[in-house]
Amino acid sequence: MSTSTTNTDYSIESDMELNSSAVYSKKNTVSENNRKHIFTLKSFVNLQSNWDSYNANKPSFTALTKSLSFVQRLSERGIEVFFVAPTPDGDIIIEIKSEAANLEFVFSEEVDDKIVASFNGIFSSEAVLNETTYHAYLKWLICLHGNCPDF
Amino acid sequence: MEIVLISNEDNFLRRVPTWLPNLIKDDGSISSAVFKTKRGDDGLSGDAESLIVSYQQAVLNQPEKFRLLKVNVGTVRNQINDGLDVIHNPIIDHPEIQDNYAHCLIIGNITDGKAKQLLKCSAEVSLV
Repeated sequence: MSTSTTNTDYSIESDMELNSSAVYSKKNTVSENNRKHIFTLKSFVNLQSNWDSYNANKPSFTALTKSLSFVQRLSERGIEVFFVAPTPDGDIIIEIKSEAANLEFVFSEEVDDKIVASFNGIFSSEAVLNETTYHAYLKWLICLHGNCPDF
Repeated sequence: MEIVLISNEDNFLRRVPTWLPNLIKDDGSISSAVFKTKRGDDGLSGDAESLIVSYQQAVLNQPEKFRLLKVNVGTVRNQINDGLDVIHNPIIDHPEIQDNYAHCLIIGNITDGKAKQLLKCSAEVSLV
C-alpha cells in the first residue's frame, strides 16, 4: 500500500474519528509545531564537531536534507513531530509519539535510515526505513489497539 | 599512571547537552541520543563518579550548557548486561583533548535498545 497521500484521498477528519491521539494536528498543512522543529533542524547546520563535548560528528548534510523532507511528509499526513536531535554519528533523529508509544526515525548518510519503536521508554523493535516499514510502524503507533480498518 | 578497576558501587557520569542542541524534550524527558555511540568508537565516554574532583568539573564548569546523568556501574554490568562493561580510560597528554583522569568507557555493543535501557536506569545529578 502506498503511503503517499493527497488532499483528495486523505481525510484528517476520518483519522480523527479512528483515533483521538494527539499525534495528529487538525490541519493538513505544516503546523506551527512542525515549523518549530524544521527551524531547529536547520539550526543543526551550524553545529560543529564535538557539539556534545565527547567528539561528536557534525550532523551530515544528507541526513539533515532527508530529515527536512521527512518532516514535510509527516506534515502532509497531519502528524506532529515531538522531538528532533542529532546523534554523535552525524545522524538525525525525528521522534513522534502517541501516549506511551513513540517512534524514532533515524536519518543517516553512511548507513540505512531506520525506525526504532519503543513503549514506555523501553525498546520494542527496529527496522530499516522503507515504504513498508514506514506504514507498518506508523500504524503501530497511531492504531496501537488495532481497530483502524481504514488506516 | 594507575588504571583502576571501576567497582560496581561506582557511577558512570555522562553529560547531557542542553544548549545547541538541547537533548531535553518539551516534556522534560531526555533523549536516548545521550547514550548513543559513534560508529567505530571504542566505547561510550563518561567519568567515574569516584574519580572526579567535583560535579562542576564533570560538566566542564559549564552548568548552563550541560546537565549530568549517572548510571550505576553494577547495573550496567549485571542488569543491562549483554557484555557491557565499564573500564577506566584516563586521558593524559592527548593532543586534542584535555587531560581527564576520571574518564571511563562503557564498552560493548550499545544498541538503540541498550541506549534506552541506560537512559531508563539513569538518574540526574544535582549540580547545586
